[in-house]
Parts: sequence; C-alpha cells; structure tokens
Amino acid sequence: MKKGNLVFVLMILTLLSLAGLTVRYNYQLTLNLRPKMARIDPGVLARQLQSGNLSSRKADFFQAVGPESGRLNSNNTKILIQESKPSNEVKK
Amino acid sequence: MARAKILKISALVLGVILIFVWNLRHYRQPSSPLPEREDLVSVLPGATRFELRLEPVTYYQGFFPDGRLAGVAFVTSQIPPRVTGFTTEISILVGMTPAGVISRLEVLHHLETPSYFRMVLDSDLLPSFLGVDLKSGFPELDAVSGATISSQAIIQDLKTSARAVAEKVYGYKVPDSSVNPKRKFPYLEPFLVILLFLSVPVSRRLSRFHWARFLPFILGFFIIGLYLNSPLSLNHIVNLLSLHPPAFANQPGLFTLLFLTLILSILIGNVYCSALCPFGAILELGARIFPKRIQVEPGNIKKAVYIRSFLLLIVILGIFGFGLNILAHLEPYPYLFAPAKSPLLWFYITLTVLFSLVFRRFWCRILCPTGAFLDLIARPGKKSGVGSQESGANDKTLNLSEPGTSDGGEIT
Repeated sequence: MKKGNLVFVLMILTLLSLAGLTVRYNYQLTLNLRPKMARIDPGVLARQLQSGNLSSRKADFFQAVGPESGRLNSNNTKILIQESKPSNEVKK
Repeated sequence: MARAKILKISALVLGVILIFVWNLRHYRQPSSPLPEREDLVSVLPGATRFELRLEPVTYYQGFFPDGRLAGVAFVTSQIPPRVTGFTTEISILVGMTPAGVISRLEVLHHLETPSYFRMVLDSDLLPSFLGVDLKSGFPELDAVSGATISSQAIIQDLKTSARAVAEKVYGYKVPDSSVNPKRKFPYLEPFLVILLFLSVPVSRRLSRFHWARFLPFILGFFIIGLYLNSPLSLNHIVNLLSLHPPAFANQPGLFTLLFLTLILSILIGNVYCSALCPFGAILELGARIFPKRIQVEPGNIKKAVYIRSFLLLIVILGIFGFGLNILAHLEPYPYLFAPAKSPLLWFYITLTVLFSLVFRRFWCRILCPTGAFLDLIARPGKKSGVGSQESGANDKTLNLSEPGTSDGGEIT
C-alpha cells in the first residue's frame, strides 16, 4: 500500500510537471512568433511616459520588458508596440 | 470539514467574480487589437494617409502622398460573418489594391494553440492568397495538415471578408462558387453530434449487452476525436466563459457539441466525461485491457481528486486575473487528435495513457480541469463519476463502468 501511495504521488507530480512544461513550450512558441523590434531611444520613451501619451497597458508592457521593445512611427509622435503579433509578415 | 467547504465556496466565488469583472471590462471591446498605423503601412506600401470607414463594412482607405487611392485594408475579424478557429477569431490584416487584388496580409492576433499555429505560418497557406484577383475568384486552397481547424478558419474568413470588401467597397462581382463551395451534407457535423448524444440513452437501454456500454465511447472517439478533431478542452471552456463561443457558421459540430454538453450537464449530469470523451474512451479501453492496478489508500485518492479543481482555479485566476491565456494549453489530449510534432507533447500523452493503465482514468479523475468544470456545473448528485472515489459503485453517478467493479487504481 505504501509503495502504491508513493507511485501515485509520483504519477501526479510527473504529469503536473509535464503540464507545466507544455505550457512553457507553447509560451516559447508565442515568443518566437513575435517579430524582432527596432531599438528605441530610452530618452524618447521617458518623455512619452512623462507626457502620458502612452496608454497604461502599453506603459506596463514597457516597464515589464524594457524600452528595447518599442519603436517609433515615421513622425516620431507615437510609440508602436506589437505585443502579440506573429512574425509572418508576408512580403510579395 | 467546514474549513474545506468554506475554501471550496471561496474559490468558486473568487472564480465567478473574476470572470464577471473580466467580461464587464471587455464588454463591447473588439476581441482583437486594432491595427496600428505601422501595420497599415506594411499592407498598403507607399500609403501615407489612412482613413477609417465604418460603412458598408469596416475598412481603412490608404492614400499615396499625391492623394491617389493606394488601396484598402481590412481586418478579417471585423467583417461578418464571425468565423472561429480552434479557440476564437483569427485577426488577419489584409491589403487590397483598387484593382481588387490581395497585395499583402499579416496576422494581427490569434489565440490558437501556438504549436499548431506555427504549422500554419510555416506553410504556404498565407502566401497563396497573395496576388489573388477577387474578380476571378479564389483558387482551390487546401487546409494545412495537422492544423486543419485553424487553417480552414483562415481560408473561410479571408474568403468571406475579402469578398465583402471587393463587392461592397469596390463594386466588383466575386464568383460565389469560389467562396462558398457547395457541400454535399452541410449539416453533417451537428447531425453526427446529436446522434452521438442519442447513443447514450440507447446504450442504457441495451445495457444487457456488454458491448453496448461502450457504444457512446466508440462513437465519441470517431466523431469528436477523429472527425471533428475537437475534444472539449480548457480552450473551449475559457472562450465560453469569456463569451466567445465557437461560431456555428464554420464550426457547427463543435458548437452543437458544446451547447449540448452544457445543457445536458446542467439538466441531467456530466454525460460528456462519463460516456463521450474520446480521450476517456482510450483510457477506458486501456484500463480494460490491462487489469492490474496500483494499490492506493482511498483517503489519498479522495484528497487527490481536488487537484483537478485546484488546476481549474489556477487557470481561471491566471487567465481572467492576469491575462495568461497560455495556461489554457496545459492538457495533453488535444495534441493527440491533431497530432503534435513535439516529442515533449508525445511523451506527455504517452505517460498519461500509461498511468491510466495502472490507475483507471488517472488523468480524468485526478488532473482534468475540463472535467472539473463540467462536474462543477453538473446537476448535484449527477457528476461524471470519473472524478469521485465512489464511481462505479454509486448509483447516482453517470458512470458507465460495469456495476460492482472496483473503481480504477485502487485495489485495496
């Protein structure tokens, strides 16, 4: 009975670990699907944050991943972030 | 005992509040992010000015610096009809020239299983849309093997939305046959699902025949597992709770399955887990073939069955509290019916099946959060039976196992 209990616990832990690894594996794939982003001047980012031009969601995202993840649009007025966009931009 | 009850009720209330608040916050918000200017530039190259139009459909006009129309861009998920993939809508930004030719496209947002969606991105599916002239219609396009549901959703969504834009914005006539190819049996999927549910009372009627007990399981394996490739999973539950059920337009079978499972769970009991789950069918068959079981104290099993409810709570907290949608991908069996390419996922599936040989329906009874949800909404006293210690011996459960047989792993 004791051996059975031990095996039972090990079975649970094994499958829980594999469930965790599966989530991690899928998470890694979503990271790989994201495009590489151009660097941004941290000073510009700081000004954007101070002026309140960034939405709170985007500001949180920046603080979580660092300023390198953003990029400016052509007239430098807005920081564009592609948080969940896969990198399948198809070029003709 | 009282403390356990308080904990259970607190967890339930917390989950319900989180889901309610999440839905309140996202009420009337688009299910996918809107395109940024940069995205529009990438699908309409050369355009410098963009205007959003809401009539007759939602689209963006792009203009060259000299004022000429560069083309229009639209997001597939913003144009009806609603088309869903394995989980929910897949938003693709499409650029179309004034001549009605698809020039560029780009996936904006999706919540599909990443390992499958990568197959779509690695395939030629999206590039095959480039250069399609809507005036001549769409060419024949095949779904991506291994990611059939996602790729079929992309094909149908792109076809219907591109057609709507070409006809309503540009005034072109798009050949109907290339968009909606005639199907011999358009309602075959819902019909088979209804048949599957009807097989449950039939198997009860024929219970004197040994084989009849397994009729729903066998049908469930073929219809839900092999034909629809959609065993109910956390993804479906999460989308349902976030008020994004599958669309009947392109997923009639899954829609019917989900609808009937929920209604019957509430009214009759958890029929799905006890009789129809295709993965449960495999585990049940394995347990029949391999009669040896490990010996576990009943008290330990009784405690362990709470793990799946705890997993469900973690997933609800993670997704509705912290936006960690990736947690919905922790189950092994969806990867079995749409074969995965990763050795890790196959190892996971194999171990789950092997463990069920020595402990009957180990995954279902101890770890399955989808089963925990269906048991949660099931009519009191009519749980699936697979999660409880007493199943097989309790008349109130819907367990189809032979009466009097020892339930699962415990040969005590």
